[in-house]
Amino acid sequence: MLDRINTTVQDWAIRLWEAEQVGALTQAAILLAIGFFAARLARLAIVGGLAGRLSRQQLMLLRRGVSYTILTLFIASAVRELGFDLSVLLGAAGIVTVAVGFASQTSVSNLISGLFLVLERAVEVGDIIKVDTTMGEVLTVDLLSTKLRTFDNLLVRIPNETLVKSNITNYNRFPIRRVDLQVGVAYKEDLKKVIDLLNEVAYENPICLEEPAPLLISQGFGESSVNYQFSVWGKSENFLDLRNSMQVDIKAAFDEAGIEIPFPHRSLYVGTVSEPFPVRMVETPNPSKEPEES
Amino acid sequence: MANAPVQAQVSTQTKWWGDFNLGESVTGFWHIGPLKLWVTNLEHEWRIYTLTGKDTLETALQVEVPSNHAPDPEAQVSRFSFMKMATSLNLSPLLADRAIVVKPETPFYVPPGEEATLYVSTPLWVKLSLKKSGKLIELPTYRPSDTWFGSSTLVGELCYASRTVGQLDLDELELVPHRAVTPVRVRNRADNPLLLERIKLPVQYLSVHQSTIDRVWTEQLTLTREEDGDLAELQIGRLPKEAGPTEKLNGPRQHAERNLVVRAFTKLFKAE
Repeated sequence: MLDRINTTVQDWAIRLWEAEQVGALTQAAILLAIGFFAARLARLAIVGGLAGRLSRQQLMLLRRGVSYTILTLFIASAVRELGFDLSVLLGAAGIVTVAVGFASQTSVSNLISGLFLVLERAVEVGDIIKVDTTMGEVLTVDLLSTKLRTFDNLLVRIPNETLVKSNITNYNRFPIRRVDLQVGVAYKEDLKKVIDLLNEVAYENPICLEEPAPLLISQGFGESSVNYQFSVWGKSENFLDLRNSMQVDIKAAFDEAGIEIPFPHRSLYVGTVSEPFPVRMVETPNPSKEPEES
Repeated sequence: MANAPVQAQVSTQTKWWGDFNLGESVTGFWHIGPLKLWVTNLEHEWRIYTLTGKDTLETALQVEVPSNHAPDPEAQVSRFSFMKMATSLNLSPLLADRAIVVKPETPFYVPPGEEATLYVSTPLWVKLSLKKSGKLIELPTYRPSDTWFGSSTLVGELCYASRTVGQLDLDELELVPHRAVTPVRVRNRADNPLLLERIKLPVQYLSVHQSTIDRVWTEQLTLTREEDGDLAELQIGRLPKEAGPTEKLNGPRQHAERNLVVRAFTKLFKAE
């Protein structure tokens, strides 16, 4: 096979210098130029015509797919114009592919994983995802890797194989999200009043959804407080604003109503058998009475 | 250069929209339900101060142009810079930019072949614009709460929740200056009764009209339910007879297509 390729290349090189080949060379160059121009035009047409209808991810894939197909067709035509036998070239390409495939198993694995990711549409450009401990916005889903921008503005490149094997959490696939707030109140408080107050705070907050209605889950009697999980719904984009504003509103409402949010209390008890703790009374001067004495 | 102090003129008119003339260094004050609005014309800028109260059903209406009221220190300010200053400011009412979900006072059934008309009031937005430069800003008279309208947390639409209920009798609807009245006719042509627990009103397709009887009206909406389910055919009709003679103040935000089918009714659901 290699001998055959060598002979073909040698024959072609000799014939290139012959006068009739100059015309073929010009035709090949023209074909290549048209190919580049057509690919560029197709890319622009796709972006212009389908920008609103497809997602960014689909648009990128379609643009690349169409552009590479057009380029490949024109390059093949140009090579044929130069007198190359394409079947020989394709045969050689097959052998090279097998050799390269063995040498680059990881890349091939990433490539296939990338295709699965695209077909499955597990992640799309613009999604906020968490892979293991890395969280960020998806910048691109390429054939070998997916690139994330973390919230502290770092670029993280995750091989597609890792992505296929890992648990991916997508934070903005659905338009609304639930915010779970942990609220503890002192044992002395009227719990019905606390529940009413929490619901009122949610009702007054404009970015907290009325439907689905807020959910209150009792978490049991804690060491120092009665614990609740108060779950409210909001638009996915408003997640942080909702969590922060609800915390501020709940604290303000509890303060106004005189409801105590307790910190851990420790009661020391030495038992009835043991001696009581010695307590020493200390008199402190009252500063408000001092002027009267003078 | 500052103008001489002017005597404040408190308007007793029942409308807050229209053209207002604000010379240099003059402030105008509008109190439209829960919204307090101050607009000041300075040398090269317009300053708009807003403060929204908590009572969403406040009925206050006051228009003072020019005004001696200084803006509240807690008011939020927006600034707009211009090379050439105009003096003519226009205020006009607009409907909400999303659909509004309304509940009847208590859920009721519309039997097959029957229909019901609910009168619903929805909050207005204030559009401030200049004659030459166009729109400055749009402000809600109060920011309605968000709500989700759909059969599950996966399928649905983000809407605003109305704080008032729909009434079967127009006289029971509160008269407030910052809300528009929409008659909603619900026709049930399906074989089974329709339980009306909440209705989604796509108010972005409606225009705003003023009537001589102190109300802001929109066209009548007809929701026809043909088959069992949540979908209804939406028809935008004419202004109701109850509105009397009217004048158009603003067109719709979006133009509705013909034979538009919308998800208009859903049952309440609990997401866990």
